Amino acid sequence: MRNGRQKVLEVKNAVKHYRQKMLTLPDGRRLKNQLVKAVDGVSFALFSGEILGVIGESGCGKSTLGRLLVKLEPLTGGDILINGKSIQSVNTKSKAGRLAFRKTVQLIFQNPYESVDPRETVERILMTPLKLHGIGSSEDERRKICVEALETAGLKPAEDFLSRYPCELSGGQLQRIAIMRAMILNPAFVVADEPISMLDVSIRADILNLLKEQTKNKNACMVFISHDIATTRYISDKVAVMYLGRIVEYGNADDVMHRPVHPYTRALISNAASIDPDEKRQPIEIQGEPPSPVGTGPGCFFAPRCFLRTERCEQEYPPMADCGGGHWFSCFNAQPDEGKEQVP
Amino acid sequence: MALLEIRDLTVRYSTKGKSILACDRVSLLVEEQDSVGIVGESGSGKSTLAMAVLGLLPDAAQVEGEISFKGVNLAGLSDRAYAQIRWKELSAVFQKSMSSLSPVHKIGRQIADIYRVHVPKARDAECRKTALEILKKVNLPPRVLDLYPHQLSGGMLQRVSIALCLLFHPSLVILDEATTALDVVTEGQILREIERLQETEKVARLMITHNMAVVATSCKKVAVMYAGRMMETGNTADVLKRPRHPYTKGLIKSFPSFTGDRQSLRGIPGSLPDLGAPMPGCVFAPRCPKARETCASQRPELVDIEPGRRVACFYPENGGAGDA
Repeated sequence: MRNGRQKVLEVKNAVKHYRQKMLTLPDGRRLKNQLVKAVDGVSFALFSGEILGVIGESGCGKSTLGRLLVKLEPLTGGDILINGKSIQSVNTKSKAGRLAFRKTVQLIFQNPYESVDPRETVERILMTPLKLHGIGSSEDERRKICVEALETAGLKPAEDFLSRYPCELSGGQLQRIAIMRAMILNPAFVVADEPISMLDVSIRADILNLLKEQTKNKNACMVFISHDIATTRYISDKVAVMYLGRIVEYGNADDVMHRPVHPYTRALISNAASIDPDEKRQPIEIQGEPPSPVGTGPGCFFAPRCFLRTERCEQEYPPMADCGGGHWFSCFNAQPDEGKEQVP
Repeated sequence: MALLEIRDLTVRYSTKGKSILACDRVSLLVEEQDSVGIVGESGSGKSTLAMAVLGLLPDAAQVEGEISFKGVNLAGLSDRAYAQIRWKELSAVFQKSMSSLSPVHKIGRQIADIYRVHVPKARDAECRKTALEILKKVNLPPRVLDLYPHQLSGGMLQRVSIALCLLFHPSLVILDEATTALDVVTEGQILREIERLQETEKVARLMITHNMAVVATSCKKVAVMYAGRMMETGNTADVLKRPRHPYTKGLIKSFPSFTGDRQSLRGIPGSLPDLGAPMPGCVFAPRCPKARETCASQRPELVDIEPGRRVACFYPENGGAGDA
């Protein structure tokens, strides 16, 4: 328990490895039968009402992590507990087992046009989950729930929207419906994978607000996956920074964003363009691009690009260290106060 | 001195019985060695504007107005005349270099091909030498010459495209969402390189993006477009601090800030109007918090409201410090 809140999600050393038969490296070398370590030992816990933002560059494993959490991919190792129950114990063979699990976890995707059936009306899109999970005793009652959901999402008058098809809606409107479709079941836990990155800037804010409101009101918890740093700061309570399948820094959103410790987080945040013309940040230049998560270790994965690298970094992986207030980082050489002056 | 001057450019796409006004009397001025960012959401006509300047619009597009580049009107220029200035005077970098480069030819061969467009008799050794020089400028190792596009990462490909566009030292470079597909760190690297190259190569730069932050960090001037019309132009820092057009203000408010309070973000209610329907008034009026009756019936023209600032609005924001 934390402030009377319940621990909903607990991830214990989650691992997902893929085996690739043939792999061509950027320098042209070919390797056979390689292990791609997409998620390589991730642990965290999430309490009800909390939003965890996961940031990182493409290929860092953030989307794979999201898919693991909702059991779209089987774990290679470790465990994920939802309300204290391992997701490995979910009986996927029986329909009842699958339904019970799906009611507690939901996923919101990036592109709403691809995540809803184009030939179903909004009414059908929203009613189907209710019917499947036996919410509402009659058709009328279910329709009432849908109308309420649409109105909460700011789609008024709701009756007008019920009979529309996805192609008759804008991206923002459809994304609201996709969010409500997930939230209508009162799930304990939601994963939102880049839910706003394909929407126009002027409507993003409202979608973010809807996600935040719904998570708080329903006392659910959410993992918000994004590559946009300012957006993640806006919506998240906690932030995890991922690099090549591992969390390198974790803590309260403002702690991580304003006082980043890990050299990778510092580089990432200092490079994020800001719209404030007065803000003069000195971007930390790191060389190269993230390598693929193949043949990493035994040292720190970030060491080849790191500006604080020492010999030790190439030999062992730095363990997570706490620098106060639940702010964790994994680096041998970073000093918790160094990143401070970066942000006014 | 004006390098590029666009005056009342109108681009209309006609399809089966429907005519879409993608650019509606757009005017823009780019001076020599200037950096101008064009910001807008999808459907604002920013890419159409770029394509019109580059002469790459599809045949179905009807173009009116004037695009004066170094004293020559580009609108209505023949393909042959265009071929003389493309790459040499005017070049472009697009969002996905993966799809703008040929997947079956090595990078060196592609650079040589483009070099021979304007230097037809160049020998292989000369091409290679030029290619190496240009790759060095964008911090790429020589081995890239013998690689295929699929062997390069997104950031390296974007560098190749930037190298290509600088091959003939053009006076204007158009970057259409050139950094959008890149990761944060790579985007930062490329933006800094672009700025540095602009200094050394002395080119003017027109950057088209939906990301206000990219413009804020890398452009001197900004032009805000919405639904095919120019809403506001001015000095970047000034516009961001004191937006005078309600749309610009709304757009800036929609960006979450990185520092300070996590104040509630506000989006702009409503959505883009139908570009096929005639709009006698201001295009932003249906979503504008300040709209009055005149806004729906009369079109506000883009006029100077203070030195260096042009706004198309009847009731501009006063631009006070607390306003932004």
